[in-house]
Amino acid sequence: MRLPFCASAWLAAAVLLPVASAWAQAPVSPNAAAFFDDAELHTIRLTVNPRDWSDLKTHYQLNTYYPAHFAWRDQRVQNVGIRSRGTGSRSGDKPGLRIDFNLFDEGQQFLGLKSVVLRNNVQDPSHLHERLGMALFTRLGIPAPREAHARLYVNDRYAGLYSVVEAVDKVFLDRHFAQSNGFLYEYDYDPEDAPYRFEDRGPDPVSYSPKPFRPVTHELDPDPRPLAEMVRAINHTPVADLRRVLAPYIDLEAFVRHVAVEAFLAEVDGMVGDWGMNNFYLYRFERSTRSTPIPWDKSESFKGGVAASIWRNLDDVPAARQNMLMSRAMQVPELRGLFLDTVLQCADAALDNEAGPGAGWLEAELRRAYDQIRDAVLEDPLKPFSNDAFEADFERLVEFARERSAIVRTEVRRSPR
Amino acid sequence: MTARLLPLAGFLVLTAAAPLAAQTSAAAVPEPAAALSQAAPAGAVRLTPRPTLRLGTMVKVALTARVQGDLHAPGGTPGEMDFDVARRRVGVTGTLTSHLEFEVERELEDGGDWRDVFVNVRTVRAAQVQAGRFKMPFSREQLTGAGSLDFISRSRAADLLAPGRSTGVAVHGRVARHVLGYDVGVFTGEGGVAPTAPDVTGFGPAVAGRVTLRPRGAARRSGALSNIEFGLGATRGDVGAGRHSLRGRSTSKDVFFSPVFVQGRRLRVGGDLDWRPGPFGFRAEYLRADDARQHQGLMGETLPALRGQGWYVSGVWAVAGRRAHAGADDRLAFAGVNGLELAARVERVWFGTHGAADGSVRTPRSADLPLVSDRAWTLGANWTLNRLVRLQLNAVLEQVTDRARNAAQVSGGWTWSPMARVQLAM
Repeated sequence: MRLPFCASAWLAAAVLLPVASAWAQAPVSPNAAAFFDDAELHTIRLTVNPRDWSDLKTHYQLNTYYPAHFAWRDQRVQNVGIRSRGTGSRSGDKPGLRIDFNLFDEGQQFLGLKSVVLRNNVQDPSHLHERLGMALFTRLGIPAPREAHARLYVNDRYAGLYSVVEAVDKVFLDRHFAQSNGFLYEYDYDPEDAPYRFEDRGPDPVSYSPKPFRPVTHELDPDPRPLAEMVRAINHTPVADLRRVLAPYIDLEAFVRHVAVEAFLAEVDGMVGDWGMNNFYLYRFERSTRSTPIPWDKSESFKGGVAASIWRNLDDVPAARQNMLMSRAMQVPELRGLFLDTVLQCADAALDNEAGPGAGWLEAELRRAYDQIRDAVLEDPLKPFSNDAFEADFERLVEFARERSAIVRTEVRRSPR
Repeated sequence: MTARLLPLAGFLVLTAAAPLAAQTSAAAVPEPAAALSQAAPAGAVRLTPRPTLRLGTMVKVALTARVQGDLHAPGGTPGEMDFDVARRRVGVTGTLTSHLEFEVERELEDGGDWRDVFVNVRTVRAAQVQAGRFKMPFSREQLTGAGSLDFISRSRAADLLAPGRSTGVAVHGRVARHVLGYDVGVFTGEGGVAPTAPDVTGFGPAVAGRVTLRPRGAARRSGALSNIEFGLGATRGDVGAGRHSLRGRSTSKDVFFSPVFVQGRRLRVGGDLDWRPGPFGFRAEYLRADDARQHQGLMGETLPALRGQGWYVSGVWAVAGRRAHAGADDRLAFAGVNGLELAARVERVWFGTHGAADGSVRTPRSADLPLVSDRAWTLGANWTLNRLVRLQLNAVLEQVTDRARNAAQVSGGWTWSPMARVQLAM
C-alpha cells in the first residue's frame, strides 16, 4: 500500500514533532566550563570515611589517597580518590586537596575532567590572590588554569572555602594546545634544596628530572634530554644567538610574557621568585624539543606590594641570584621590549573599564569576587586568619588594583629598551 | 650492572671455597646426624657439621648460620640481572638436659629482626611446650625452613596467606603411635602483621592450631603409603582498623592486590598433603584467609569480608641421591653428580569478595572487590653440593588476571622470571 504524499507528511510530522520537542526540552548537561564558572559560588560535597578524613588531616604531609564520593549540583561521582596536596600550603587543619576522578576507575571522568585541585588558600588571607592572578594570565591570552570558589562540605559539615583549580593535565593540554601526548613536567620546588634558576648542572639529564622537573606525563620514560640541552644552551649561548639557538627548546616569547605578568602581579614565588624558580609547568610539544611554560599557584602574587619593581630579582640582586634565562633574555632588545610591552598590557588590562566608567577591570573583578565569597570566608571555621585579616588583605588588593598600573607604567617609561 | 654484580663475585668466591673445606672435613668426620648422636667427652668442642660445644650429656650448644644469595631477572630480562643477599642469619641452637631445647636466630642486616627465640620443654614427648617467638602452626610450607624448600620462593599461597612468626606458647607432640600430631598455640598477635603506627589499635591475641595425620605413624616399613602425611590447620586473630589486609605480591615482588581497609576477625583454614615415595615427592596445599571489614565502608558500614585463597601442587624427583632427598637412592649419581633434584610446581592465589561482579570498581573501601588472581608455573633444579652448599635454579612463568574495571587489562601477559640461589648453611 502506498500512502499519498499529504498523508506521509502528516505521519512524519506526527512522529518527529514530539521527538524534537522532547529533545528541545531535555535538560542541558553541565560541562566543565560551568564547573569553573566564577560567576557562581559553588558547593562541593565529599563523602569520606570519617577515619580516612582524620588520617588525611593527621598525615597531611603524605600523598596517601583515600576513596570518597564527590558531588556538585546534581552530579555525583562515586569512588574518586582524594589526597592532601601542596608544598608550603599543606595543612592538617584545612588540607588542600587533589581529587582524582579516575584513580580507582581509569575511565571515569567528571564533566570531561580527570582531576581537580581544591586549594585551601591558607597562605592567602583574602582567598583572592590565586583567582585574580590566573584571571590576568587568561585575560592576556596566556593558557592558565580556570578557577572558581566553592564551599566544601565533608560528610555534610562545612570544611571551609576553597578555590577550585583546573588541574594542568592532559585535558588541560588538549583544550589549549589541541594535543596532550607531549611531555609535561611540573617544577617541583623543594624547600630543602638550593634555589635553582636554570644554572648549568652538566649534561646528565638526571640532573634535571625527576627533580626539579617532575614528569607528569610519560612518568616511566620522561626523556629529560632536551631539558638538559636547553639548560646548556641557556648558559653557554652568546646573547646574540640566544633566540636562534633556544628556539628549538623553548618558546622564549611565551616565557618572557609569563615573567612579565608575574612582574605586574608582584609575584614573589614565581619564575623569578625570591626562592629561585617555582610554581609553573613546562610542556614539551609532541614530536618536538620545544617547551612552553604554564602558570601555577599564584597565591603569592600581589605579595611584593603595590610598589614592587618589575625588575625584582632581575637587576636588584647579584648575578648569582638572577634567573639565567630571564637575565640573558633581557639582554636581547626584542625580548626586553616584549617584556616591557607585556607589563604595559597588564597595566592597561587592569584599568580597562569596558563595563563603563568607574573601577578598572582588576578592581571590578576583585569586588565581584569579594562580594561572592565574603560570607563563606567569614563562616569558614578552619581558615588560619582572622576575619579582620581577610578584610585588611582585601583592602590592600583594592589599593593594588587602583594604583599598580600607574606605578608600573612609570617604571616601564624609565626602563631602557 | 658491574657494581650490582660485585657482591655476587664475592659470594661466588666464598661458594667455591666452601665445598673444598666441606669435602676435606667430611672425610674425617661422621655424618652430621651420627655426629650429634654420639656421646662426646665432657667439654668437647666440635667444628663439624657446625661449631658445637658439648658439656657432658647435659648441655649442647651449636652455632647456626645461613647466607642466601639470589640472582634474578625481573620480568625475564636477563640483561637486567640483579643480585641480592636474601638472608643472612646467625643463631644458636641446643639442648639443656634432655628436657629443654632452645633456639635463637637473628637477621644480620641493618635493623635485622629476631627470627626464632624460643625454648621447648620436652619432658613429655607427647605434650611438649614451646614458648617464645616462633612460627605460628599453620601451613606446611610456611613451617618448612627456608633452607629446605624445593623452590627458591615459597608458594604464593603460603607466602601471602600464612602467618609468620609471633610470640606465644604452644603445646605440641605426636600421639597414637605417632599417627596423630598436633600443635596448638596462643599468640600475642597475628604473625607478620604487626601494627606499624602507635595509633593502630584492635590487634588482639591469636590462636592457631594444626593437626597432622601419618597413617603409618612411626613405622619404617616401605610401601605406597609410607612417608605420607595429611595436615589441617586454622588460625583466628583480630586485625585492627586500617589498611592492614592481606596483600598480593607476585613472585617478582610486584604488588597485584593492594591492601584494603579491614577490621575484626581474621580467620585462616588450610589443608595439605605431603607424600614422599622413593625418589619422588609430592606436596599439595590449599589455604584460605578471610579478613572481616567491620565498619570499613565509606559511610562506616560493614563490608563483605575479603577472602584470599590459594593452592599449589608440586613434585620433586631426586635424580641422584645422597642427602638431597630423604628417599633418594644414595648409590645413584647423574653424570657423576650427587644431590640433584628436579622440581615442578603449579599454583594459583586469588583475592576478592564473594560474589563480586566482574568490572566493579575496586577501592580500599569498596563493598565489592572483584577477583584478582596470580597463576604461576615453576620449574626448578636443586643441587646439594655438600652439607654446606646448595644451588637452586628456578624458571617461573606467571600471569596476573584482574577483573576490576580499573585494571589496565583483565589478563596480563605471561611473564617468566629466571632465578638462581646459592645457599651456604651450617
